Amino acid sequence: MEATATAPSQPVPPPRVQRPVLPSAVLGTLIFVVSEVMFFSGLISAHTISKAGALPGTWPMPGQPRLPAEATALNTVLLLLSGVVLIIGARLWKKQSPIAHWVTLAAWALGAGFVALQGVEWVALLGSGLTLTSSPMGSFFYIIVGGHALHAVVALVALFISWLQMARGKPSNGLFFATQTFWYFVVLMWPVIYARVYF
Amino acid sequence: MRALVAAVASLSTPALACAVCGAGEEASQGSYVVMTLIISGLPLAMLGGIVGYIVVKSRAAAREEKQVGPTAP
Repeated sequence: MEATATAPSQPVPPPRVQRPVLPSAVLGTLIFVVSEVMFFSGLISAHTISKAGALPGTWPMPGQPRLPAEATALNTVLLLLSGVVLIIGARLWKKQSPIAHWVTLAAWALGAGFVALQGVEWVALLGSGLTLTSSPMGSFFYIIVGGHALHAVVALVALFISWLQMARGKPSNGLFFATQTFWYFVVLMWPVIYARVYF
Repeated sequence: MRALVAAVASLSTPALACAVCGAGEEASQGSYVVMTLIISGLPLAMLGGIVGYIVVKSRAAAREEKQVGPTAP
């Protein structure tokens, strides 16, 4: 004996597709970036207060080199240019342009150039006697600028992986968006560090 | 007890252990104030910016959906 109850057929409304207003990868990276901005703010705050309280003629200490602000301006231009090129690359990527991954690679190369020039600068400063323990200026310089360089290297590795995926035709949008967000943080943080630490 | 507190307070002197506390006091005070304001306001500004951005984007998405109608799968 079968008892089948047939419900009156009603048109089933199509399921609503919910698009995220902000991809999860970007939101997660943004929250991480907020904490990193506070990390650098704490260091820059300590540097500013120490520099303001230093005795006249002790920043830099006598016999120690001045920070190469003029030479670092070139690095700064490279990094800012890298950010602009990545914005262009991301727009091309959205339009599914075949040259998007090459533009992304150009942004990566500019960023790598920035890190390489920073390395050259560090070698020269270490050779001139400015070390992590030689003076408060040296300690702040290597910790703040080194912290930024570390972030830049991590972002460059992620950007390179992202570029590889794009070049192989197997892109991960989440990784690319998150890497972009992180790279923009690296790019925008630098002028603040440059203005506070080098002058 | 009050007499003890008053005696301790009258005997104490400022600590001079910090090597840079005696130098550039006015400049240091200014830096303290400015950096305190920046560090206090920065997290609020950043989180407010993220929340504001999400609100603006979600309102724009709602407007778009209202104009076009619900999207098919």
